[in-house]
Amino acid sequence: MINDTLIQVESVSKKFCRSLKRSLWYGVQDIGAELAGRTKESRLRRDEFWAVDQVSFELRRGECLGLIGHNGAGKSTLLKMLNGLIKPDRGRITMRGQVGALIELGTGFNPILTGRENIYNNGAVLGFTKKEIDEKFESIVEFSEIGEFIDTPVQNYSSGMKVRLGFAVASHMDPDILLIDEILAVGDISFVLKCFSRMDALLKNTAIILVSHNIPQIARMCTNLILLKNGQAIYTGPDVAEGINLYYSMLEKPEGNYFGSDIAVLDDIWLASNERNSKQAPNMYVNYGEELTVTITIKANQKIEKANIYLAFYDATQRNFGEVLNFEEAIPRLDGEIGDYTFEAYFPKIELAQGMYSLTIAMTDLSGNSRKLIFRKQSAVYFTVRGKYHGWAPMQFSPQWKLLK
Amino acid sequence: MNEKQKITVYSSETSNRLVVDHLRQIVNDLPRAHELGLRLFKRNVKALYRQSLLGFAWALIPPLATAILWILLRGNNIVQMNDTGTPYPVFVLTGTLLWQLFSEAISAPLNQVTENKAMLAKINIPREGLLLSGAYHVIFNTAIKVVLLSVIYAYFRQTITLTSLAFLPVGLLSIGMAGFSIGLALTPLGMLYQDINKGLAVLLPFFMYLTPVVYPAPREGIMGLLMRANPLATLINETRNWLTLQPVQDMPYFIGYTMAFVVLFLLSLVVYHLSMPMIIERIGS
Repeated sequence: MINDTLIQVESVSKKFCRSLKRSLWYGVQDIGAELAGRTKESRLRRDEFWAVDQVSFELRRGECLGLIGHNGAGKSTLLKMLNGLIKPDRGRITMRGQVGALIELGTGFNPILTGRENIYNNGAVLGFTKKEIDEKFESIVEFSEIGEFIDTPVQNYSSGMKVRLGFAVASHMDPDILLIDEILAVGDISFVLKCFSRMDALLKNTAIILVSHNIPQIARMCTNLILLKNGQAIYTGPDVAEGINLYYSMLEKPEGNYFGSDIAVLDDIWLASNERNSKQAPNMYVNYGEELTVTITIKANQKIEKANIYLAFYDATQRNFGEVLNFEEAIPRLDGEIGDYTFEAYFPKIELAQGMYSLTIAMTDLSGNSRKLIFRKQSAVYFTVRGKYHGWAPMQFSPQWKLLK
Repeated sequence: MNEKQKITVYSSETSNRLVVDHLRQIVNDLPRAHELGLRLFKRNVKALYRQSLLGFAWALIPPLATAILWILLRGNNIVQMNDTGTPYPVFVLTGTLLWQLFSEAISAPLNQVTENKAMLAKINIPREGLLLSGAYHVIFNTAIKVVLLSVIYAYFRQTITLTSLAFLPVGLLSIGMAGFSIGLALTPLGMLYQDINKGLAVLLPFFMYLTPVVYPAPREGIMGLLMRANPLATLINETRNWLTLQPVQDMPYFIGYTMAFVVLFLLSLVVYHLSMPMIIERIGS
């Protein structure tokens, strides 16, 4: 094929209305305009806003476009327009070839019917003919791993089983264009991996659009990226890493809880890396492989002889993936005076995947036999790592490789 | 890979094509819509009867209950009415079964579309499939009613001729078409506003008593005029007269009304087809 551009989106916009009453009435007006063949009102009416605003892109066969952004940024609305469920208010969408959508799994299932019957129900909704399902039936059942439960009513299935059956049917579509909306977040990990390999197989002959909040998943699959904010595409292009960096810089940085006693209080904590300082730049970032300095000041109101400072690294999903436990060895004793202390922890090389991270700090008193908590500050400071590695894991090592033979 | 690529364009422009062009497109999509409609119909019927003891009898219970009530009222002289020409139970059962067909047909489109709202909002299905699923269900229920009707006719030794039998499908189709086209015309608005559904529930029983279902149609006076102005009165009365070998009085009206409903059906179908994207946009998921 000469021109294998399957999707062409030209400055597409869509309005939404905040008030339900008005929204319904505008609906009646729009239907009236459509039937009368008049042009619909393209300006904003009262209570309306642009849910998708002037978005343009093209996608070819074999490419995968990731659509990211906060909730309400317009991702699903854009997907609905591409799927032909709703019409754009401005602009034009051209889709070449068969379109398949993985928006919701198991649509058309009736809980009191068996898995076997529901394969046919779901299949019909997805546009399969009965003959096609007959041919694919064995393969669907095998993929779903439902086994002997295929003749059991679906209401007795676990939610994971329902999802597996739904995905098994949907994955037997053979479209030119596949639209996927955040459905792989469910199911156990082995099934998720199976879904990925199935999608990798589909990608060769398909143009895929993937909406997800799961950034590692986007990073793994996508060749292009659109970052939406309030309906506008603030990043469009093939540099997935750059788009993801931009997304992380937009994330909220909620202040964490502070638990403290009078013995000592956390006065300040800040980060520095290569002349950049978290006190000056709210969006502190560290380039992959560069240094990071954590500076901590505390005010001791009582004498503390054996203090211990603990640091914990959290990623954007609040997963604790790293700890610092060597304070005691480096600074076994404080001088015991009341007053201000400043500590510095120096990390020569940050080998983290790109993304947003936070540091939690805790101070404990180790004198006596027990470990007593002095203070603890959750997510005390945030930083972003920029770089080319964006894998599944936060830790991204770069060992020195040698070809030995 | 598809040899011949299907190109779909979505844009903000309103289509200025003719009604016939839209109808042609709907007809072209009909095989897909049928595939979905038949599957949904089978699913609904299976699910309905698998969880029920009385099963198919539920298609008969509402009209039977009305008929029995009126047989009792009339038999005990609580209400008086003119001679119906045929045994009253035959008369009233034919009437209520025909009315039931109308009332099922009028609710079918909106019911089906509302039930499958989530599907409509998420998946690009051939939307006419939902209408077909509703139509298949009405046809299925009507078949059950015809079986009951023949049992009753046999019991009362009611004579049936070949012509009256041949007219039965015409009459049923005409009444079904009347209900379905009105229901379909109300569907787009009914998807947006609950008022339509609520209004139907209130008005249908009221309208039934304005129609000669349980009583013979008066020919004279204001009521006589009202009967001829009420399309349903003509459709039900004529169908019943044919079946029970009574004189057929208003055939021109019957033909006229039936044709009007066919036109209403085709127009409503196009309106439904065109308005669906705008409705999905407003109802969310």
